[in-house]
Amino acid sequence: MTGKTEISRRDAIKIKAATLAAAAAGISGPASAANLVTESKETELKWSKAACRFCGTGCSVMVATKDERVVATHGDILSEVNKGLNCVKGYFLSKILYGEDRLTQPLLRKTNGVYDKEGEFTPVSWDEAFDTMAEKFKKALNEKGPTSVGMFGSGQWTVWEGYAASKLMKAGFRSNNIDPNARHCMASAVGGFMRTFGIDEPMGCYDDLEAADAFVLWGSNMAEMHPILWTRLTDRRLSAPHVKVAVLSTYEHRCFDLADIKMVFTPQTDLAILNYIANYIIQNDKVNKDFVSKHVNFRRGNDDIGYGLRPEHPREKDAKNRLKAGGSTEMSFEEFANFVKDYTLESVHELSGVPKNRLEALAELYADPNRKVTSFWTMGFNQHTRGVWCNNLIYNIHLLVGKISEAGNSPFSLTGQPSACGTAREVGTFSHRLPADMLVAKKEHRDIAEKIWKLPEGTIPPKPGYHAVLQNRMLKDGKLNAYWIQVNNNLQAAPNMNEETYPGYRNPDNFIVVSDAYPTVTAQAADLILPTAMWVEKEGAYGNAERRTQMWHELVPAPGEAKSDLWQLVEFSKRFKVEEVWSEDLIAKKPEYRGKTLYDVLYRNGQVDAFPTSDIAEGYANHEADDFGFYLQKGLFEEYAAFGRGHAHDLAPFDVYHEVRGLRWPVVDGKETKWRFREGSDPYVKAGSGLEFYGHKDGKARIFALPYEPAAEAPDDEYAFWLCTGRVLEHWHSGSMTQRVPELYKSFPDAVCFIHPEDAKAQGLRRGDEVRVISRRGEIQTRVETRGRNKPPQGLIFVPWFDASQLINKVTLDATDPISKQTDFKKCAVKLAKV
Amino acid sequence: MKTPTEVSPELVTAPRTAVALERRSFLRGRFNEAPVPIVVRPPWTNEQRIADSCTGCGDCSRACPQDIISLTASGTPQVDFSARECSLCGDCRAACPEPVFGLRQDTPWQLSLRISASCLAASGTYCRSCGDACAEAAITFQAKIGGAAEIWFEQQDCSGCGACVSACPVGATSLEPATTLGNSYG
Amino acid sequence: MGNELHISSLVVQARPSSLLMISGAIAALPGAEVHAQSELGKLVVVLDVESTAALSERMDQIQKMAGVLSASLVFHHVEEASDASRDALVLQC
Repeated sequence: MTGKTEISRRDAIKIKAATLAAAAAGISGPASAANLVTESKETELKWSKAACRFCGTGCSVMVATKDERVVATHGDILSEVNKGLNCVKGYFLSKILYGEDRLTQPLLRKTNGVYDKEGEFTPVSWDEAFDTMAEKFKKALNEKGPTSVGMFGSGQWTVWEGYAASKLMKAGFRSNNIDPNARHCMASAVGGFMRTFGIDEPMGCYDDLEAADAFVLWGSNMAEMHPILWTRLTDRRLSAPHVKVAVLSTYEHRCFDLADIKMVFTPQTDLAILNYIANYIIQNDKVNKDFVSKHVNFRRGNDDIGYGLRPEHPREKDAKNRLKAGGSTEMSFEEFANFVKDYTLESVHELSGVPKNRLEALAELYADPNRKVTSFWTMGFNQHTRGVWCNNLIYNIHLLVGKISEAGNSPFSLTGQPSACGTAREVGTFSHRLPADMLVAKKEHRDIAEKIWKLPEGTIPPKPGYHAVLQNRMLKDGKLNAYWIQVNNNLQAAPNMNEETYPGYRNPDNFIVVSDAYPTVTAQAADLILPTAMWVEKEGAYGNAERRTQMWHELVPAPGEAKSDLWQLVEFSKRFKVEEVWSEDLIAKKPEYRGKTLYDVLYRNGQVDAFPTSDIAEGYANHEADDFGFYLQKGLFEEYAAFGRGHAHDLAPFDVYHEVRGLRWPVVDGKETKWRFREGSDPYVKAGSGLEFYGHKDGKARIFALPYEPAAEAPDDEYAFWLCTGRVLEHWHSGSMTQRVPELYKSFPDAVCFIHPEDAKAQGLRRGDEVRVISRRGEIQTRVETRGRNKPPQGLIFVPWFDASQLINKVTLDATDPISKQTDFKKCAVKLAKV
Repeated sequence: MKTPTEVSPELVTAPRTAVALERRSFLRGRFNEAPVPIVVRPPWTNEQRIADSCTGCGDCSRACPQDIISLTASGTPQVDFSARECSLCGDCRAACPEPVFGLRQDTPWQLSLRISASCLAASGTYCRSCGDACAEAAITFQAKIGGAAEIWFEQQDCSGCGACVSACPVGATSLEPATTLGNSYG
Repeated sequence: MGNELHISSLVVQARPSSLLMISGAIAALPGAEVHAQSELGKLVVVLDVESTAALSERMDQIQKMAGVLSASLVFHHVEEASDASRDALVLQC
């Protein structure tokens, strides 16, 4: 490197540094920044935008690359979401690509050179990997039919990866056994939206954070899990003294630091508190009668719906509405008022343990007509055996007082994954869904999908496939035999892993494939591991919790032979001839497909391959396009967008998203939508109606009468503690990325058991002692923590699940919400034993 | 629990002090001078006792179950919190054959927190690692408008364990003998 | 050490009345440059130093100056000067 280049490169980095600082300080750019454009070539640093790889907030980051490596990142000042800020995970984002144990070639279990389920992982070529995998998939399809193959995907898939996967499974293999890990995360939220509004995802947006007069957190530790949104909430609280913050949880956490009304309630009694608030509003004559009469219907939901356990479990046998969990009947407002009137201050205080004055203060926030209220919730509501009910009940409250669909009045379901909304939900990668909120069970919906996909009528099977927990049960029971897992670590994430997950992976009848960037516990339990390109090693699109779709370009090459999930899906499809996977009568309806591969039928259909590689923005690589010869991502996106355009899910043209910092759908005539259902903001609302909940045919939202019912498992004399699991700020989900960033590992290296000091004392435990956490299903060993960020009440412990060396999901219960099929990771009974 | 509005910047001299960095007078300060290396000694010791009695045998270092005591170039013991905290178990004290260590019931040490300007929280990144590691809650955060947070430190609650040092992802926290920080904390 | 390249920028908030003096004092520090300033007392400072330790030291020196109210790191670019493609990282806004 010459001296001159060294100096000018240095200077250009300095100018970049100064420009960023000047922008952050609000000072107009330094004079020397004028040199930036001419000098930037010599810096060889290239700055591009990308969405953060972690939570559902959807922060935008600027990424600098040089010599095919990410060398710098910083919060994107132009982003409306994070306005230049980062959390500590986002700060170290670039390091997730460079963990020491990145997987760089396919690994197949072999003994003496041939595949063996009990063999050692051996490097193989992509060809050998896919040949072996295709053989196993074909064997299962031949012997047992489409229901014996399945896939477990992710809310971290990019939009087109989820779409390509859904197409491959539902249309190609004709199996609905595809589900995302969003089932563990957002399924109850989806159920709540569909039931109350008939259309998925929040009506509000993050602008509510600057407009609300009160915030209520229901089972959401935003301070650790959504720190940037928490920063915006904190700003609002500090800059407007009248703003109130109420926090409800089953243990005290970081959000309590800012809270004006703090409430620790007994697990499961949130249902009763929600009904108490509705009752308070009615009893105090605070119902917005005009709003309710125009925009709301009342329904009585089925009760006694069971706990989503295996059918032979006694708790299921006794449940009268186990098979009609989502059913409901009409009722009147008076009947609803009568239904909630038993949820009195006295009785709910007794049940929940929350002081009466705090319950009243909380109810008054909602009841006060002059106070705009935004409610946030995450896993406290969703990971709940009555998760859909919780979602319905919070909407009840907002609807009774008409506080919805306008700036600051917002019931807001936050998401945990970067594209739980954009991919898992909007693309419809659930076992019962199709794109744009459509369902496999509905003939007219299947018809629409088959038409857009140019497939013969009857290709998509009508029966919903196995959902997440059921997939594990079916693997264990030997009914699901060829199984592909992408972008998630489900062995660590799924409940009751010893009894229900691991046995299925190692069942000799099954062939398990895991695509991942790192050797997670799930990958290590597999038979074939496929090395995967991650984040900016591929072109991507994510959709965040406020309906904002964001895109990024491929910025650096993946290491070794690693390839994107998208490449893997599309390349694998080449190995199947239509005759091998479709019945003769189906092929007879489209004889021109005879002899073709699934690749031809699904991805070379004249739509997905419609855009040439010359459409790729100059200066950016695209490893999928290099191999397939067309702009795969653009083709998939445009075909997918056809489902939603004109149906209240409109996306902008593909190229627009590479220019902007995301847009919130529906995007109509180039304009995004901030508040849905509100005239003037949402173009789908009929003129003159003011507000229209158009998701349901009658244009109304539904208020549901739903009771308090107890948890699936509660503490008793032997198993005396509630166990609640969750996350910590420094680590994301199972830690497969953040545990490999040395700085984050150092900050919070190992999981601990947070416990009340008095409980610890009574058990003879001191801070730092080793302790066994034992349930009826399994146990782990961890250390006692009596202080720090989480302060459980007596009778409850909290253990985070990021630590692969302490798998707390050996302990948890696989009870699910019978409507959403989402697991309750927040409640089961455990005992403690000193080591 | 104080609400943020109840805490004003004027509390800098109160027992619960905001960690504003030491601010010597600009006119007096020779800010280009090289900093004197600061050594944290094992608990229950001080410079005088070490100068008088320490033979540099290294028994304290070998006895430390946390492996955080080493010998300086001049052969005297020092504590390094960068890997992990001190559990104040007293094994170093018990292992020492000389009268270097004071009584177990004495205050183990007087250390003060120092936070360098590379602190993530101070510059707007949402990080709470030192506060979360602090079992005594001697370190707390006051949110400020704009995303940054002010770090508050309460000397009398600090045990000097050093957990905040090993937890910091960017190495911005350090503990120093209180005397070297002079009156900077009021 | 010594062959690393650390370029960082900070926003320094000074008392407006001390702005000129502080601006001069910062510019006199080794490796420090003042790129912009506003009459409200904000300065954009770029540091070019050889190690994290030197960076911390320089930032401490700035923070200790009388009249400096705060100094926030905005951007930090690190790479080995000898092999500029390796092991670089990190930043913040």
